[in-house]
Amino acid sequence: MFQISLYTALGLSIAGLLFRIYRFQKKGSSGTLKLKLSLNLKPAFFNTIFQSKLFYASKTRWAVHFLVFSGFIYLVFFHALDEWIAFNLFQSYQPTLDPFQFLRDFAGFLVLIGCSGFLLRRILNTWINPDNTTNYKGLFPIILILLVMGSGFMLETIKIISEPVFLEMVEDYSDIDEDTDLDHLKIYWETHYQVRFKKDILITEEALEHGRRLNTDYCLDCHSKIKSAFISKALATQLDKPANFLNYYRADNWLYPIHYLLSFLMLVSLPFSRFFHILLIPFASAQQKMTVRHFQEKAVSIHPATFSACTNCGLCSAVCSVYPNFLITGNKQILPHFKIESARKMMAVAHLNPKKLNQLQLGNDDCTLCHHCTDICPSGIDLQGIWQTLPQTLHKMGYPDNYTFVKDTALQERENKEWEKEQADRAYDLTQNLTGRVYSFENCVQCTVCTNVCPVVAYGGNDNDMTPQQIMNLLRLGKKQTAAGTRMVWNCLTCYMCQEHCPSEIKVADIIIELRNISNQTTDSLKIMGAADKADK
Amino acid sequence: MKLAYFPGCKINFYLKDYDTSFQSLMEKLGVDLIQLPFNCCGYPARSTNFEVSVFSAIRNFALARKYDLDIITPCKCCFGQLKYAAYQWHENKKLKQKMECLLADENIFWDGKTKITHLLSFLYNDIGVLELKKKIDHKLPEKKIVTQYGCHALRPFTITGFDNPHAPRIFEELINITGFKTVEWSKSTECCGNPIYETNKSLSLKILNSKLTAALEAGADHICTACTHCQIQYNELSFQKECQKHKITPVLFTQILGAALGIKKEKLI
Amino acid sequence: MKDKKQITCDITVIGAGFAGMVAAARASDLGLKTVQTGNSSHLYFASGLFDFLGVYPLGSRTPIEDPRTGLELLQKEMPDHPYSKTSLETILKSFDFLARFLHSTGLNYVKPDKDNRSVLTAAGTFKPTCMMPETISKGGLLKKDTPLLLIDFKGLEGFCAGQIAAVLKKNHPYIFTLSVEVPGESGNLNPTYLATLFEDSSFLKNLATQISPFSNKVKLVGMPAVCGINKSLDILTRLEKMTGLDIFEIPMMPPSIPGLRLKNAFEKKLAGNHVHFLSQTKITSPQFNGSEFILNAVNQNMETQIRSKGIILATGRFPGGGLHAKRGCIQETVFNLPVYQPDERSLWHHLNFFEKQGHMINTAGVETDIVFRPVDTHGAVIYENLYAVGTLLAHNDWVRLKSGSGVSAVSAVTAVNDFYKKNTAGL
Repeated sequence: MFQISLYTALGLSIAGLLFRIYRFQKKGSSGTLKLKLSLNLKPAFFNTIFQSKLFYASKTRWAVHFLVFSGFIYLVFFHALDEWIAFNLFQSYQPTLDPFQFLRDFAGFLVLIGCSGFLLRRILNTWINPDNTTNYKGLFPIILILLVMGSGFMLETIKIISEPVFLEMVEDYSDIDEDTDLDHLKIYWETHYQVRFKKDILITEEALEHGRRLNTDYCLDCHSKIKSAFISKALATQLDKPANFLNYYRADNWLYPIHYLLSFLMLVSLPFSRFFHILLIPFASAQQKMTVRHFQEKAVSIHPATFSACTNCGLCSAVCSVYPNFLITGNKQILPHFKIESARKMMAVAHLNPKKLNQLQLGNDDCTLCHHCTDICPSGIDLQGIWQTLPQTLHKMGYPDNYTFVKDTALQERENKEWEKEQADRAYDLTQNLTGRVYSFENCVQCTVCTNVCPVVAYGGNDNDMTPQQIMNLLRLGKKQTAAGTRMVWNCLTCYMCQEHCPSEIKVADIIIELRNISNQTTDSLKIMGAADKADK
Repeated sequence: MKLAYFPGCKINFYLKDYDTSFQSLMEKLGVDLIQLPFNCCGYPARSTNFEVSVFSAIRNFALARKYDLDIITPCKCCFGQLKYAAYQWHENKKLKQKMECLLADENIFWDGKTKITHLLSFLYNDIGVLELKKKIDHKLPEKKIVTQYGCHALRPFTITGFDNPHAPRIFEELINITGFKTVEWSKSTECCGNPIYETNKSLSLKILNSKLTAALEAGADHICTACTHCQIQYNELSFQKECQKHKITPVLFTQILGAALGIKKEKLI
Repeated sequence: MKDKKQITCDITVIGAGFAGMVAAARASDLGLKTVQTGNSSHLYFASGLFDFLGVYPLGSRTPIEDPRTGLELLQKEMPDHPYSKTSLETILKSFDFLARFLHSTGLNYVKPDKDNRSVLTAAGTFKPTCMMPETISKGGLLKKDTPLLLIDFKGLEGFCAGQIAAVLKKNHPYIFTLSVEVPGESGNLNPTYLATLFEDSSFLKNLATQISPFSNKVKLVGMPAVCGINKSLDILTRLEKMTGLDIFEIPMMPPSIPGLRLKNAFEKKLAGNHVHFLSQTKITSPQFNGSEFILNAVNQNMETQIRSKGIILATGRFPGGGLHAKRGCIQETVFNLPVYQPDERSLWHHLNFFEKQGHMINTAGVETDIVFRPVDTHGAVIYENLYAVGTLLAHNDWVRLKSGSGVSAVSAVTAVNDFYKKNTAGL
């Protein structure tokens, strides 16, 4: 049964892996995502073996993770694969022999502590930040690991207290046939190895001593003192009452398949769960990060598989330079650890919610490409490379940036939309509201000095529609929305030549920037409305 | 002397040598640069959301205030933006109230007392040209150089108070002590074009390319910048190629001053 | 909190228009530590020509030829006019200083003649003036029978060669016109941008090629005053060499490039003379503590306290903000000095816009003593070291008399000289 389940699990796992690879390749055939693998092995090595990036990001989180990592690796190679590895490396290896018995329990203990740490962080996060939806991600692997560890410890415990297993072992590994010998051995094992026997046997000094000698002859070669299996020993001492019941029903016989089936479940779910990070993170870390040169020479390549290497750790958002933007606007898609999720879903799913995509486009627009998130990402994902290519992808999907959106919307079309909402909002307006107060621009005498010093007018040629002083005039005519949609407002360099030179000291540049703000907000609303329409269809 | 170092978002990835040379220069001048977890200055958000841009800046002030430090920055856009936000803080009472609430959520506050200075104004006002001249270790050859002042420090004067906005001089005075000789050209106070590089590349490059003709006209060997965005613009690939053809090199002020002060080359790139 | 600063200086010039610039130029030239506040962009409206006295008496239909004779009459008949406080010699010395100063900036002006010169304007009319930039000077070669080529640029508003020719045709029969197409430009051309194009040699070559076909027909070429912003005389000379013709600039409507050249020249040179310039900064609550003035110079983010021995008030009239017209009276905006003005508002303007005698409001202003210190209603000097100069002064309808630059220059130079004499005995 073990063999069958193992091979089935392996088969399913490999099939799953191939399926995921196939899906990644398929997604990569569009847009700027190229399949060229440009490998950078040194950072991949350090990040895989030592989780170096996580270490630099947060010592505490690294420590907790390293507990799980080291324990797990030990258990995989020296417990699960002991037949191929441990037995071959060490002549005298036995699972029940020290130091292996101790190390196995210790490794399991480390994993338990680590996983508890994982859960604790999530619980604390849910208290501090209740609407953080990524708290629930990655719970399945943690719980599965805990179950595997739990079942493993339980199995060991049951085996410790098991009378039937004891009798089987005596049958297989000793030639004791005398009842008294057996009893003496039993006494010894009851006292020193925590086996629970149905029948009470009288313990005497000589019997114990005899049992010890028998143990030395037949058992000691493979069985170290039980106290090194400290977890299981502790559990065993608690099982006095149910011991006989468990022994009678051979709990060990059904715990064992539970234990290995759970382990195989880990294997099968590897390509589809958080477990995949074991392969994805080395892969992502090995990818060459895009530099300025790559973008200048249009040689950008980002492998779609790297999107899935994200473990939702949230460290990227903790160092995000535009976190304050999120505090004001509340758009979660500004934060990298939400953005990557949306981007990943966008790659995986054919039709994502238009509202979500719109939010993603708006949120990503705020990114200043400071590279902090990429520097810190413990998974080694080229986050900034993704943020830089996202606008193009979104544009192709019908979600352009505001500049392009306004450029492609006729002034008249913008004029026709009524924005009474904007008037109502003025009550809460915290801006300077220069465009709403006549005295800001009423002194304009149309001298055209601002126009004459404006580089956009000078170099823009026919691409430019209005000049700065014409914008002032549009305001005087009450045509604020028209003014806000002009090329001038959107091409403005904010160089402040106009404002510095205005003989009437009108805040020309501040007014144009304010118009751009208004235009951005109007455009955002138009886009959200458009996205909602798309979603309804 | 301790100052909080405000690098700005772009310098880390796009102009690492400005970061390095700036820090080396400050070290040489005996300034202790303290790194704080600053966020974006808010300049990019000026176009999209006024509140976001002011709050981003104010939050940085509050962080510096926590450690009782004034702020220095090598980027002129950051400088201009932080100055602008400081103005909004004392002018716009309703906005100030809202910002104070948001800051209080993080247990930080600002009382308007943090000063913000740019590399050039620090060198000119706090250290002084004469003092700096004394420290020149290795005078550079007398090459001709023109200055790209950068808009956001110069203008609006009523916000930044950086220098005479029409006829600025502090950059020239600082460069001339290094051995390089500044010459006049018509583009000193004109924008480099970087603010619209992402949205309207052709116009941005048109503005940039006009600099080359003017620099050639002036007979310059170098164009000097002291702003992250200006230098990034001058590093634009096609412009660089043109510059190489005509043997003109855009340089960072920190690198030439650093070289003149005797800082080793490795610490300036 | 606004950034607070303190400056101590010898003299503060409040105003960065023409009079303010001349005052700051004189003060820095004499070695006085000078602070200047104001908005220099008003120089964009200057034609570049400096008038001494173009029309006298007021309402005369013809301009005067000899300003000196006109001045004599004016000093007799208008004793309150600023010119009456000074002498011909002083006025000429002031123009001299101006020419010298501008020459040191690279901007060349032709020295004044005894008579006024006639300058062709964009309207096709002739304006009398005293001093003109060299780039405009060859316009003086225009006689009635001189074959003239007038060029304009497609897209440049406010200048039409054909219109000028139509006005001139009565007296000048030999006029040709040429409308130049600027390569690569098809829309509106701003004068400043067009002027920068002149600094490109390929543009000049193209222009020369378009003018050359006329070189055997004409001797003189008139073009809008857009011949480069910097080194305009050099560029003009180069164009003359390329075409083999004499060329002169014709002043245009604002924004005026000769005005811009003046602005640049003043700004650069004054900055080089260490004049501390506070752009777009207003003086509020000026005080005097017995020995010096304490001024609060305020703008959006700065409050600068200026401690200054002397003040030159060059704040201009209504557009510049030196005078403020309230419902029933006119106020001087910085020191609230007494303002000479019509008794009631109904007297400010004549009903006829083109009234020969002009409008009484245009002679309102600050009255001064002979060294241009404001006086009160009894004629007593208000502050020893406070001077008022330029168009702020009363009794000078500079638009109609064509006396603007002259009054500004002489009052500014006289005021600074006087301050210097009185206050530098110990220096």
